[in-house]
Amino acid sequence: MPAHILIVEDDENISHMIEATLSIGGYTSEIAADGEAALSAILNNNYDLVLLDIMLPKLDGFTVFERKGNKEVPVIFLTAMGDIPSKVKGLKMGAEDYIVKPFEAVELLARVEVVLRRSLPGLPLLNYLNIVVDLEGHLVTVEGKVVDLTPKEFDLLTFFIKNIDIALTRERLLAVVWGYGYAGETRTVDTHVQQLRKKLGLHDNLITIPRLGYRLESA
Amino acid sequence: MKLWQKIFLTTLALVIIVVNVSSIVLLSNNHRLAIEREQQSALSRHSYLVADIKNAIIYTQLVERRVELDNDDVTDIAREVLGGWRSDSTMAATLFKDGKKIYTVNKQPAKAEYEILGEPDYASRIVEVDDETYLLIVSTTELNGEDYRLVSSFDITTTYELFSADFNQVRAVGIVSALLVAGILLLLVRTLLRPLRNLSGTTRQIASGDLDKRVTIKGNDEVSDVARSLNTMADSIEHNVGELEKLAESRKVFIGNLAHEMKTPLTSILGFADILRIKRQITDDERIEYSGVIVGETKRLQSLSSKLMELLSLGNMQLTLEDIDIRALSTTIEVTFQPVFARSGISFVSDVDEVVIKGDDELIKSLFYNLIDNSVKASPQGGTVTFSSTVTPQQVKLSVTDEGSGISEDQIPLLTEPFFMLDKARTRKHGGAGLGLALCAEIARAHGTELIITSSPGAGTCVSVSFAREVENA
Repeated sequence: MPAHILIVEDDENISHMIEATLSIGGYTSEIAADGEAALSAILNNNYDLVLLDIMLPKLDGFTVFERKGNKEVPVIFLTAMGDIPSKVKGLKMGAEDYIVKPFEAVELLARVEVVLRRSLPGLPLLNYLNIVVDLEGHLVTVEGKVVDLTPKEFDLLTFFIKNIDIALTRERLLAVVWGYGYAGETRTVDTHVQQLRKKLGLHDNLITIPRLGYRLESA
Repeated sequence: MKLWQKIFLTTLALVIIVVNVSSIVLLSNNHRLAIEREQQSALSRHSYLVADIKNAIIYTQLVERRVELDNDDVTDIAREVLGGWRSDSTMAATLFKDGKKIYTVNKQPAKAEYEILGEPDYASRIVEVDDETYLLIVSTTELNGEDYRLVSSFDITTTYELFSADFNQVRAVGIVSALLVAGILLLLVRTLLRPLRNLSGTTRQIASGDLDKRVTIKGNDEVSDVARSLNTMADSIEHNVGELEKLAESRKVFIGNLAHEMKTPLTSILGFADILRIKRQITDDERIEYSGVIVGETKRLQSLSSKLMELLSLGNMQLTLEDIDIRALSTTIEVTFQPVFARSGISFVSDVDEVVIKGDDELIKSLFYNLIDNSVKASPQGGTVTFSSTVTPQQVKLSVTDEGSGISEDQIPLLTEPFFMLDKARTRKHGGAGLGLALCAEIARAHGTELIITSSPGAGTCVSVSFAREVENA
C-alpha cells in the first residue's frame, strides 16, 4: 500500500502542486487548508507523514504540531520562513525535517522518501525488472546472480529505482549520492551512469535526457 | 583639572590670601603704633632726663651761688642725676662731652651708642643687638655753657617680641582656619556641583543607549536649566529614535511580507515547472493545469511588482494638480470596467454631482480604479457598486460603496496595511497581492486627505475620500 500523506497548506496552487509531486513518487495525499482542519485530520486519521506549512490561517503550524500531542506521525515543516531560528524551532519540537519554499519536486520527494524510510522500516528489497537491490545486505543481483557494484554505483542505482520515471538532473544526483559539498564535477555522474548501464544492461532503460540528466524508465 | 577642583583651589587660595594679607596689615599697623608710642615715651623720658640734669645744675648754681661751675661739677651733677635712674632697668643713658664718655648709667649697646653719636644734633634709631631691640635717642644739650651729648637707650624688645608672638599666632590661626575653610569649601563645592555630576552621569547613560533615562531636576539654578534642556533633548531623541525604530520595524514587516508574497507564487511556479520538466508522461489536462498555474502565478508576481513600483514611486512623486471633472471620471470608470461589470453581473450606479476637484489625474484614476476593483471583487453576483459624491461648500466627498459581505470594525485599520488580505484564497484567486488599498491610502495621503472606510459585517463596505474645494473666483 502506498504511503498516505497529509498536505497542510493554505495556498491552493501550492497544495495541488505538492499533491501532483507526491503522486509522481507514488504516494496518495489529502489536503487541509488551515490549522484547525489539519489538526482534526491528524487526530482522526493515521497518516504516514504530514507536510505542515507554518503560516496558516486559524492555527499556525507550530501550534498544530504542539496540539497533536502524542499522536505518532512524522512531520516535515514546509515553509517560506527560511530563517535559522524557526528552522531550529521546528526541528527542536520534534519535526523530522524542514523544507524551505520554494523547492524542487525531486527535493521534496527525496526528503519525503528519507523520512518515510526512517519511520516505515519495511521493504529492505527494491525490485526493478530482473534486478533486486538488497538495501540491508548492500547486494545487487540480476536474475539471482550477484553484480559487483562500487558503493557510489549502488547508491546511484538505488536512487534511480526509487525515482522511477522521474528525470533527475546531474546536480541532483551529485547532491544525493556524492553529497552537497561535491558540486561541479557532473562528469563523475556520467561515468557512473555508464558503468551502471554496462554492468546491469540498462542501456535502453536508463536514458539520457538532453540538457537535463537521466531517467530510469519503467518497463 | 575638574571644575570642582578649579573652584575649590581658586577660592581657597583667595580666602587664604585675603585673610593673611589683612591680618598682616592689621598686625603691622598695631606694631607701628606701638613703636611710635614707645618712641613718644622714650622721647619724653629722654627730655625729662635732660631737664633733670639742667635743673640739677641750676639748683647747684643757686645753692652754691656760683654762676660758673667747672666741668667736674657738671660731671658730678650729671653722675648724681643719672645715677638716680640706676634702678630703672628699662633704660640706660650715657653723657658725652666732645665724644668722650662722662658717665653711663646702666649698660648700653656700646657700638650703637657711638654710631648714633655721629648723628648731628637730635636723632633716634632702633637697633638690634643680640636678640634685644633698643630704641636709641641722642640730643645735644648745653650745660654750663658747654655742649654735651646725651645718648639714652630704651629696651623695646618686649614690643618686638609681642609683635612676633602675635604674628606667629596669626599664622597658626591662619593655617587652622585655612584647613577649616578648605574642608567647608570642599563640602560646599561638591554639594553644589552634585547636580552637575548627576547631569554628566545621566548624559553618559543616554549617550550609551539608555534613551529612557532622565535627569532628576531639583531647584531652579543654571544646572537645572541645563538639566531641563537635556531632558527635552533626550525626549526628542527618544521620540525620533522610536519613530526610526517603528519605521525600520514596519520596513522589516513590509519586506518580510513581500518575501512571503513572492515565495508563495514562486513555490507553485517552481514546483509545477519542475513537475513538467521531470515527469515522464504528462496528460494534456495536467499540462494545461500546471502551465495555467505557472502563467497565473507569474501574472500575480507581475502585478505585485508593478503595484510595488507604484507604491514606492508615490513617496517621492511630484503631483501634477489639475482640475478633474468627477462626471467625466465616473464615465471613464464605467467604460473601463464595462467588461468586468458584465462578467460579474454587477450593476454600476453613478450618483455624482457636476463638480471639479484638484488632483493628479493619473493617481486619482488609479485610486478609484482600485476602489471600484475592490468593490467588484467583494460584491456578490448581481450586486451593485455605487460611485457617489456629497458636495458641501468646503469639500467634495467621493464614495465607492458595495454590497459585499463587509468586515468587522477591528479589521478596518488593517485594510490599508500592505499585504493585508481579508481572505487570502479569494484575493489570490483574483490575482491580488494585498497592496490595492495600501496604494489608495498612499495616493490619498499624497493629496493631503485620507481614506475613510465604513463597514460592518453583512452590510457592505463604503470607502470615501474627501477633497477640499477651491474657493470659486466669480
